[in-house]
Amino acid sequence: MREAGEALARETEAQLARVRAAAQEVSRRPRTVFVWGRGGRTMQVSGRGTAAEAMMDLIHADNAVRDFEGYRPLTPEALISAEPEVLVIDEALLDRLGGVPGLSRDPALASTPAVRNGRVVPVHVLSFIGFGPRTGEVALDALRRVHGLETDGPESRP
Amino acid sequence: VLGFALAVACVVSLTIGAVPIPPTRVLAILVESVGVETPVSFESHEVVTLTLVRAPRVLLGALVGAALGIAGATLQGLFRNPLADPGLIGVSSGAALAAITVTMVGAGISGALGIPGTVLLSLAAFGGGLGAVLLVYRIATFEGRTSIATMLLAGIAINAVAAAATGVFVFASDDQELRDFIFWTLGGLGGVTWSSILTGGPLLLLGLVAALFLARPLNALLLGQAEALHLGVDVDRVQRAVVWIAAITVGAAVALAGIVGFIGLITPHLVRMVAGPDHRIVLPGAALLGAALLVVADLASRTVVAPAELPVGVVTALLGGPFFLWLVVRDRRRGALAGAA
Repeated sequence: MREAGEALARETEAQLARVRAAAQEVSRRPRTVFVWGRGGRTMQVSGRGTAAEAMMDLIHADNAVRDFEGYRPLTPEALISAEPEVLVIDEALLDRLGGVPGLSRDPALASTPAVRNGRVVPVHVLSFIGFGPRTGEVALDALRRVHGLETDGPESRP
Repeated sequence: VLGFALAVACVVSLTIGAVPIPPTRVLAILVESVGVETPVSFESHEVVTLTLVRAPRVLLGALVGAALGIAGATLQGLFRNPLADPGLIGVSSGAALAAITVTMVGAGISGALGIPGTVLLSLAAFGGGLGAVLLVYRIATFEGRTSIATMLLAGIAINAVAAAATGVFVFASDDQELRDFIFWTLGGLGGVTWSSILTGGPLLLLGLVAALFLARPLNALLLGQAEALHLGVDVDRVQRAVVWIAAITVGAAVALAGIVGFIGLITPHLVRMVAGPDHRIVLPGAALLGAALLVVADLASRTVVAPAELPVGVVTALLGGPFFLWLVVRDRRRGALAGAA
């Protein structure tokens, strides 16, 4: 039992080390907004002190919404002025909104650089913000996609 | 006076927001959008903010507020009960049930029909609201006659059933769905676009105009159903008209803005307190006041905790409740004093 635990800890550490190494190689920290829900109309995004912000930090991205704490509905005008370059969004929510074309129908979202340039990164919310043994793996994947390192993913296409 | 208040509310709302835009620039952007050059310079994100986000919001706020106000006024007239509001005949609970159904199982449906989830949500809310009201109306109609008392009871029952069914979905929903649904029920004008105004606006306008024609028959109904009948009012037709108008306007309002409480209930009272019970004044007054109130409430919802957004339904109840109480108490005091003197 103890050995299995230690092995897991070692592996998790190794994964995180790989994430940090990969993060060192990207020079820019894109302004990022993490969208976790949409209460009918307004986007619920992650503010200061959230797990999502910690994850962004890990993968060398800047949280573009730092004026409030926790997850709250962001007024559309503030979304425009936050000018996110990358939109990280719950994959189920993205499906419900009709994918990236669906996002473009919302004028506030459509005007963000992220949606204009198609830099929308769908993630599984629970693994993205739920820190655990899989975090290294998830972070590495998110890092590649947020920084557009992956060339064959649909989200890196403009 | 109310028209002026509405105009002021709209102008102020256009100039204030999370993205500050000076009034001169607001004016310049509006003027240039109809093709006239101005010397004032502004930035492109200000144009987007103003014309694509803020302007439709203010316009829709006015339309929805007016619809809620006038629907409340006609229903209070019909029920001859100052407590009547659109929620009473099932609009809100029916819409809420449809909304949570779509929130939970809508992804598959919207994929199959090829319409985006947000549009589906609006359609479902409209349909749910309309359906609930028509059900209430049918239950209350027996051999061609509609009993207002039965309608009230049926409305209460349908509300309870819809709330219970909604509860079943809430029980079965996951965190995310629950969160989306809760915020939906609190109402909000965020994410409004010109296309949503183009689809919902005509319905709201139609209802508003139609409702204005009901002022005279509703005045007659103030005397009582039998008296109205003697005055030559086709009571059944008026009832049908009120129910349909309320169902369509409030259904459209809920579809576009979620559940915004209190405006339908208090605006008719405020107008009556100032101008008396004549529906020729109460109906247009409630519409204008409702519009002004919702525009102001939405302004508060998107600025008070900016850049976050407070659900507008919370603002209307939070501001409207105490204000209404104050008016009621003041009115009673004044009445007591007048009686003593």
